[in-house]
Amino acid sequence: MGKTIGIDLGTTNSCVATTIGGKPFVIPSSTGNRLIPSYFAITQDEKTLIGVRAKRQSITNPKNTIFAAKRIIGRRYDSREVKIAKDKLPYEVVAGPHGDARVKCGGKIMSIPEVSAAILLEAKKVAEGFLENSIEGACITVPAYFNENQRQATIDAAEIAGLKVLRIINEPTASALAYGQKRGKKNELIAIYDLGGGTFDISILELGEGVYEVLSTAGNTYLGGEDIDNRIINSVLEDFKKTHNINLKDDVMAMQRLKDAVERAKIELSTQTEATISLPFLTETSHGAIHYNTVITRNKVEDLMIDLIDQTIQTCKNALEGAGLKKDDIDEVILVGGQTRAPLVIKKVVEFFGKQPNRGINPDEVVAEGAAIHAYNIGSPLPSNILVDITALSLGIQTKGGAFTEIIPQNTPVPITKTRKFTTTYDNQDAVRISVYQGNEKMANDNELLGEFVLGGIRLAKKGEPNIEVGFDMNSEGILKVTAKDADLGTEQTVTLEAKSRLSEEEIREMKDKMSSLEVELKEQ
Amino acid sequence: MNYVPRLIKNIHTLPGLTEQESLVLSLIDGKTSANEIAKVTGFGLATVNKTLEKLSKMDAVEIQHRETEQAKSGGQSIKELYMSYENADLYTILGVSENANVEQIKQAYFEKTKMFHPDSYYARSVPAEDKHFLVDLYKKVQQAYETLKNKAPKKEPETAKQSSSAKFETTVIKPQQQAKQEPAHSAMTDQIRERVKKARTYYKIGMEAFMKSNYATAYLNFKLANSYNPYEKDYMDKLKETEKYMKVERHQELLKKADISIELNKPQDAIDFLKSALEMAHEKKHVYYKLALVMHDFNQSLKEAKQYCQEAIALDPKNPDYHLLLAKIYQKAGLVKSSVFEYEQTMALGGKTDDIKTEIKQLKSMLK
Repeated sequence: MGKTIGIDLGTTNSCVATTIGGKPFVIPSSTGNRLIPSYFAITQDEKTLIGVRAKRQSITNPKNTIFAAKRIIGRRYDSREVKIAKDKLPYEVVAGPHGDARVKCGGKIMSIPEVSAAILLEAKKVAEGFLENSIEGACITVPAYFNENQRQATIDAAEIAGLKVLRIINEPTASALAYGQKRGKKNELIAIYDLGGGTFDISILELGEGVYEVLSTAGNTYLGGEDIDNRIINSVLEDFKKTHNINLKDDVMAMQRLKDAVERAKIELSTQTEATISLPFLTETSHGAIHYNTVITRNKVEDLMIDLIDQTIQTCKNALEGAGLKKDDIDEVILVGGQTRAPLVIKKVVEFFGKQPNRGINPDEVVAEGAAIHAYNIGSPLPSNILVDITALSLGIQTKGGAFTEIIPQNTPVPITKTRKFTTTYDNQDAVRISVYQGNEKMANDNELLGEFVLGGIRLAKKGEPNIEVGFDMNSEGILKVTAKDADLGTEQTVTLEAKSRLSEEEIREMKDKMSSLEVELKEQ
Repeated sequence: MNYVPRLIKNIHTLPGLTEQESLVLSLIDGKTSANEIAKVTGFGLATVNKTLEKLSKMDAVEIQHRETEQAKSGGQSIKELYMSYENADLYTILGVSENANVEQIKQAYFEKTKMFHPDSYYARSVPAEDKHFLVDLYKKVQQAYETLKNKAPKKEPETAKQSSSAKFETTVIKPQQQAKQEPAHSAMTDQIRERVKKARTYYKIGMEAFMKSNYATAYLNFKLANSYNPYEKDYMDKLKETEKYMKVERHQELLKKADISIELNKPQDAIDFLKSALEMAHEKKHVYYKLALVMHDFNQSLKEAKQYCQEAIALDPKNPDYHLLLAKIYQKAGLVKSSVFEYEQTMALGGKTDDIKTEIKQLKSMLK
C-alpha cells in the first residue's frame, strides 16, 4: 500500500507533505527546496519545465511561462476575475470551448487544469522520489472561498496528473489541523488568517478533543501578496516614467524582471526597513541601455498596501459575526501564507484581535502539513481527528425576477440535506428551469452558475398552485446533488452537479495521456 | 466487543495501578485492539475491558468508536442503530438531558461526530446501505446540535434543588413550550423517559398503599414519584393529600400515646407526645386543652397550664370544658377572683352547673 500525501496548490508556490508515524513532514525536492514555485513553461526548443526551473527562466521567456494559474482556474472566460487577471498577466488568456478560460503557451492552447496538473505532477514526482514508493492518494487544498467550479477544476487537474484525490480541503482548515497537532487537549477557539499569494481567507474554528469544527469562514479570492506586488510595480513604473519618460509596460521582459525584483524587495522589507532594487540593462533606448536603481522603504510599501490589509480586517469582522463571536472569544490567532510575514499585517492583526499571533508554525508549509494530516486521518480506519467543515458560499437557485434564493446557507456544516418549496409563476406552466447558483450575492447573476436542468411534467394548474420541491444534498466530500420534484405528482429529476465549464471526460483522458508522456519526459531531464 | 484503545496523554505509567493494569496500559499504542491485549496478556477480554474502563475514567486512555464498533461486530446492526434513533427526539439523538447547557451539548456533539461523521469510517469497508444510514444519522446529529445549541441556556444546568412549588410552575409551562417547537416529539431523552417510567411505578405502589390507608408507605412512594417526575401534577397533589392524611394519622397516634402515658402515670412523656402532636394537629385547641389538663392534673407548671388553656379558649371561646379547666387552674393557683370568673363563664356556657355552683359558693365565701 502506498503513502498518502497532502498538497498545497498555491498561487505562487506549492508545497507537498506526507506523514511519518502520523506526524506531518514536508518533502524537500532533490535539490533541497521545500516549496515548488507554481510555474509552468514551454521553452523555445519545446521543452516543458515545471516549478523552480520554469520560474528561473520566466524572465527570458515571459510569454510562455504560466504562473498564478490558480487565479483563473474554474473561471469563465467572460468573468470579471479573468478580465482583471488578463491585464496583469504577461501570457495570453483565451476563451476555451466550454466558455472556460485557457492559456496560450508554446504555441499551444492549454486548459488551466492542465497547467495545474503539471504542478501537481511535479509535487507527485518530488514525493515519489523521496518516499521511494507510489502515491496512493492526495489531499489537495483550495481557498475556503473557492466555489464548486473552481474545486471541480482542481479535481480535474489531479485526475490529469494521475493523482487520486482523497479530498479537497480548505486551506485555513488544513492549517488548523496542523496547528492542532502541536497543541494541548483543551477546547479552544482559533482564527486562521490566511493571506497567500493570490487569496485571502479567514476561518474561525473550534477545536475540541478530536474534533475540528469550522464555525465560519470568509474571504476574498482576489486579494493576495501579488496584488501588493502589482501596486509596488505600478509605483516603480510611474517613477521610471518620470525619470526616463519611458513606459515600461509593453516591454514584457523588463516587466518580468521588475516583478521578480519587486517580490524580492518586498520579502526583504519584512525584516529590513529599506530594500534596493537594482536592474542593470533594464531596457534599451536610442541613447543606450538604462540601468535602474532605486531604494524602496518599508513605509512606502506599507502606504501602498494598507487599504488591502484593512480590507482583510473587515473580512475578519464578518467571519466573527458569522460565527456569532466577539474578538475576545478567540484563544489563538494563526497566521498562514507568506504575506503574513509583513510587519504591517502582524500589526493590524494584533490591533484587531488584541493578541499576539501564534508563532509556532511555518506560514509557508502549514497548509501542506495539514493536508497530509487529513489524508492520513481519512485513510486510517480509526481516525483520531474529525474535521467538520462548512459551506463558505450559499447554494441556491434562481427565482422570479432573477433573484437568488438560497437553499443551503453560508456557513452550514456538511454533510447536509435541505429542501425548499417553490411554485410556478404563470398558469398552466408545465416545466421549470432549475438554475443552481453559488455565492453570497442577492442576484443570481452576480453569483456563480453551477448548473441547470429542467423539471418537466408539472401538474397543469393556476400559477402558484403546484408544489415543486427542490432538494440540495451536499456530502462531506463537497459533492452537491440537486433534486427537483413535483410533490403532487411525484415527477422527479435528480442531477449530480457538474461544474459548467468543466472539461469533458474525453478531454480529460486526452490530457491525462499527454501528461503521462510528460511525466516520462520529466524523469529523463 | 472489540476495539482499539488509544493513549490520551502518551503516558505509559501511572501511579496507583496494579501490576495487571500497568501491563494493559503499557500495551496500548493505538493499533493493538482490546482482543489482542487480552490474548497477549492472557487476562481474558472481560478483565481487559474492565481495566480499560478504569483507565479511561482516569483520563489515560481513550476508548474510541465503541458504539460504531459495537454495531459492526454484530451486536447491533447499523440499520438497527439507525432505527433506534429514527423517531427519537433531538435530546436523545445527541444524548443529552433536557436541561443540558451549551457546553454539555457541544461535548455530546463532538462525541457523536467522532462516531458518525463520514470521515470516521471513510477508510473502512462499510456497505452502501449502512453508509446511507450512517450519513443520515449524522445529519440528524448535526440538526439536533444546531437546534439545541441555540436553545440551551448558556449557564449551568438547573439543579433539582428547586422548591416544590417552583417545580410545579415549570411543570405547567414546559409542555406547552415543547409542543410549540417540537410538535412531532415529546422532547424527552432516554434518561428522562426512564425517569418517567420509574415515577409511574412508584406512583402506582403509592396509590395501592394509599387505598389501604397505609399513608407512610404511600407518602414515601409519592415522594419518589415526584422526585423522578416533578412535572406530573397528579403526583404532587397526591403527595400533598397523603401528607395531610399522614399528619392526621400521626397526630392521632401521638394523642393515643399521650393517653397511654397518662394511664401509666408518666406525665412528662404525655406532655412530650402532646407537644409533638401540637405541631401537626389540624385542630390545635383539643391538644392545647389536653396539655393544660395533664399539667393541671399532674401538678406540673400551672403557669404553662394556664397558657395552654388560654390558647384553647382563644381558638374556641365557647367551650365550657376549657373554661372549667381554667377555673380549676386558677383555683389551684389561689387566684380566687379569676377562678370565680371562669366558673361563672362555664355556667353561662352551660357546663355542669350543680358542681360548679357549690364551688362558686365556697370560693365566694373564701373571698369574704
